[in-house]
This record gives sequence, C-alpha cells and structure tokens, in this order.
Amino acid sequence: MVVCIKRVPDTGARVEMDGGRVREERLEWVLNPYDEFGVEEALLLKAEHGGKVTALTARASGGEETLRKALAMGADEAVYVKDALLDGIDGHGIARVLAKAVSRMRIDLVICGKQSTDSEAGYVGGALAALLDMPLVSAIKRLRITGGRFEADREVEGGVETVEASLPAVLTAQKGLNEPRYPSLPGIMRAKRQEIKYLDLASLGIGREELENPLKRVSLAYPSMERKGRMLAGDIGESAKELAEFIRHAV
Amino acid sequence: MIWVLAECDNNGPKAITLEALGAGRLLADPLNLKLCLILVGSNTSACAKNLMRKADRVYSLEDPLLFTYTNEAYNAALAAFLGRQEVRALITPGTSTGRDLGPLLSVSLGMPYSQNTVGLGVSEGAVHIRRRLYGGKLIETVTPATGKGGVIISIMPGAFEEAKDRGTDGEAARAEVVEGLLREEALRIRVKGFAREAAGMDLIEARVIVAGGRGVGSAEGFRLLEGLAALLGGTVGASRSAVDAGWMPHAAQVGQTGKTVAPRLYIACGISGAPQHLAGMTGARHIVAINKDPGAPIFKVADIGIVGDLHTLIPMLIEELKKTKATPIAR
Repeated sequence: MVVCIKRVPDTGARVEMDGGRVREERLEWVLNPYDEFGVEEALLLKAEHGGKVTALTARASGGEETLRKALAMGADEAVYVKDALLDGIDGHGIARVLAKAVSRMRIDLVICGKQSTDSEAGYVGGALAALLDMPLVSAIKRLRITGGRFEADREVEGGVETVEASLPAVLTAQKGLNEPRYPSLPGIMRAKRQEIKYLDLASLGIGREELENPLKRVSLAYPSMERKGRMLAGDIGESAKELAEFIRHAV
Repeated sequence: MIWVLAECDNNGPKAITLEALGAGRLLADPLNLKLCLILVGSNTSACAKNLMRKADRVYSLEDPLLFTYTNEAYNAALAAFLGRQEVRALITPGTSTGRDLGPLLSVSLGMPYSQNTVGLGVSEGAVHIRRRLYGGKLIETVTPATGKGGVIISIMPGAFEEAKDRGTDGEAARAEVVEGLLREEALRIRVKGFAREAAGMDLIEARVIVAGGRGVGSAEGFRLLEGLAALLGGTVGASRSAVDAGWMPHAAQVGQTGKTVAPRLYIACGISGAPQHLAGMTGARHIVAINKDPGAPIFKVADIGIVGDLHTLIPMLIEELKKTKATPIAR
C-alpha cells in the first residue's frame, strides 16, 4: 500500500502574501488532514490483511517532517521524491512524479487524501488513477477489502453511494473514514531513527520540461469577505421582528 | 467552443448546471464561441428540454451503460467524444460527481484542471480563471500557459449567476458513443447502491441553510434549527465543533474540512466564525449571524447580526415568520 501525503499550512493559520507569493516561512505546517485519514486507513488494512505501508511525498523541501509523522503513526517505509526542480510545481506535475514513483513499486492500493487543505484541488488522486490506469474511488467513508476486490462507500450529494471495484486501485479518503491515531512516544522515537528513501527527478527519468505548470498565475489577492453588517443588540423581540423582515426579503 | 457538462437529477437539471451555463457565457460571448451543453446518461431528453434555451447547442451522449454514473464509463465516453471536438474550455460542476470526474478527464484530454473557480473572464483573448486557495483565504487568478489550449474549469456552487433564457432554442445534437467503446465486462467499477441520508442533507443545492455551532449546545438544540430550516424550505448545516461534539453528522459540516456552500441565505446560529468555518460559507448571498458574544468574528462577515441567545430568539423568529408565512422556497 502506498499513501501519498503532503504538508499543508495548519487550517487555523493566517495565510499571508508577499510580492504575489505566499509567505511560507512563517506558516505552521501539518500533515494534510485528509492524508492523515489515508495513513490511518492503510494502517488499519495492514492490521487486518498484513502487507506493508509506504508513505510517499514529492516536493522541493520540507517533506521530512510529514513523512516522519506517517512513520510515527506506524508506516513501514517513507519515500521522498526531493528535487529543487519541484519548487512551485502544482498538482499536474506532482501527480506525474508520484505516478512514476508508484509505477516502480509493487502495489495493491494507492491511498490519497480527498484533497489538500491548501489548493483544495482534489486533483492528484484522480490524476494518479488515470496515469496509472487504475480504478478511482474518491471521497470514501468506509472500505472493506475481500480478496482482489473491495467495496467502498462514497460521500455524494444527499447520501452515500456504495461501489465495488477491483484491485489495484486508487482511493481518496474523506473525513469520517476513520479516527487517525496519535503517534505513540515509542513510535515517534522509532520514526526519528528510520531512514527516509530519497529519489530525485533524474532517477525517475523525468525532465523539468514535463512538469511546466499548465496554468500560469496572473495574480494573487486577499478576498474581500467583510460586509458592512447591521448589528441588532437591543430588545430581542424587536430583533426577531427586524430579522424576519430581512429574511423575507433575502429569500 | 465552450463546453458545459450538465448534471441532472430526477427533477431535471440541478441548479449548478444553470450556473455552469452562466459561467460558460462569460467566456463564450467575449470569445465569440458557441456555448455547447453536454448531457450524459441513458435517457437525457427530459433534462435537455429545460435547457434548450440556455445554450447554442445541446449534445446528448447516451448509452445504457451511462445510466448510473461511474467515473470510468463517463470518462471513457466523454474523453472519446470531446477528444474529437474543438474545446477551448470545459466547465464542470463543483459537485461530488464533477470533482470525481474532472481530474480523470484532465489526464484523458491532456488539459489542465482548475478547481473552486469563483470568477471567469477574458483578457486580451486569454481565459482568466479566478479561484479560491487555502479555503478562500486567498484568491488566485490563472490563465492557461498554452494560450488557446483547452482547460477544464470546475466551478464553485453558487459562485455564478444562473444562465438566462435566450430568445430561441439551441440546436439539438446527438453525440454518438463509439460502438464498442463501453463494454460492461470491461468496466472495473460497479455501483452497488445508494442510501439517502436523513432528509435535506444536500447542502450544495440548498437555497437556505440554517447552521449551528457550539452555541447550539446539544443535538436536541439542532431540532430548533431544523424547525426554522423547514419553515424556510432550507436545510441544516453545522460547524466543525458541532460535528466533533457528535451533535450532527459530518455530511452537514460547513467549512474548510467540510462543505463549501453558497446559498441565497445563510443563518449562522451560535457559530463564532473561526477562519475554518468562514472558508466554507462567505460565498452566501445573504448572511445572518446570531451569537451571544458581540465580539464573535462571524459578525464581520454578516449582513445582519443579532447579539442574543439563539434559544430565545429563534422561537420568536419562527413566530414572526409564521405571521406572514411566505411560501417555502423549494427549488
């Protein structure tokens, strides 16, 4: 099993920009919450069916901490495609890099988070499935594997869809799939000593020109979220009347 | 041509389809390109009928194996069809289906994919896409690096005005599924069933959302919110703390790790307004905030804010609304 992970700014963090770029040096980084569900699910599957869990990430720098978190949770192995050429590369390129790395492994299952909380694109899992020519089941909330097949519940509008598909496959994890464990102290100590396996683009046979972002940034700006609202803090009966009036017009 | 992928349910086109057509117009008109709608399924005529006046051309891509959505069959059929068409942009709905299918189509068609799009425009002949990053903390504008190459644009529900009817019907066209392209035995994914969740859970399509947070106090407290939502023909949402407390299921969660919604009216009850939550709801047309704490950040993004206890206010509000009971706003 391979779990693709990445680091993201903590969702509570203030994201600031500087000269059209996000100021990354002041952000606090965490393992993408949806990827954490992915790691946990792989560990649960391992406990039930055996096998090996490999955590995989691809970025220019700063991936070690993310991988060590996965190792501390219980992953067996960490692979880091680390290359300066990956700086600023978006999901289109990252999916290609991950696909190359995964295609060199013998795997039954690739698990990704449903999306990351920074770009929120939800792109990499689906693109990986297409690039690896594996079935994709996205946003899963339940998984059961029997033999070479599996059954999963997907969250869709208004309900839950149950699908069945063959392995190997790519799954993306939705909140609710499981409750990620906290790494144990021995787990954290072990993860510190574990070796991370490094790969670079040359070793995967990928040239920089293949990774050019297909969408160019024109600008980056803060949204205007604030509204000039009216505040009603007086008699609650009067507030209810006025609010009812507002609602009638609003709908 | 500018393409729009339709999404329908048993009642006809979903609102997001009309919004996607509205978004498509923002590109088709300035670029002087035709706006083409594509419906996929086994019998799309019922849905097509309501949409003829909103597009220049309406294509139906039909096959018995497209009766139930699977990303595998839809991707194969759409990629084969659109691969032979001129595609400047394909607009897809930001629904669970659209978000499932978009990345697959991106690889199959060799086109970039842009998510969470909230604005579209044309500048010096180039398509400009405005999209949310970091749960709406930043807005990025991007343009295809290849200039006129196609791009897949997934739109945020509620971000675009619905398309208006044109004077005349668009042209109806059939899109043939290549003979033998879809074979049941070759499909690796099969849908086994669908279980509807408790009524009114479709937050994405809801016109009115009454959402509760920690201030609601308990699972029972949400019954009060349900009463208000029912009166307004809306549905109930929840903040992360209310979901983490076990008062509401995750399917009802609004925010960065839940759903992003843009209803006509959002009523935030007992929600303080953490950035995490604001990321999911500031796209609403009208925002009402009810909170005991006058310093709650939710008031900054509200059109009208009431400082007070929701348990006292909401029953009074329900009474007021019943006095001149407006017709529930069903979609």
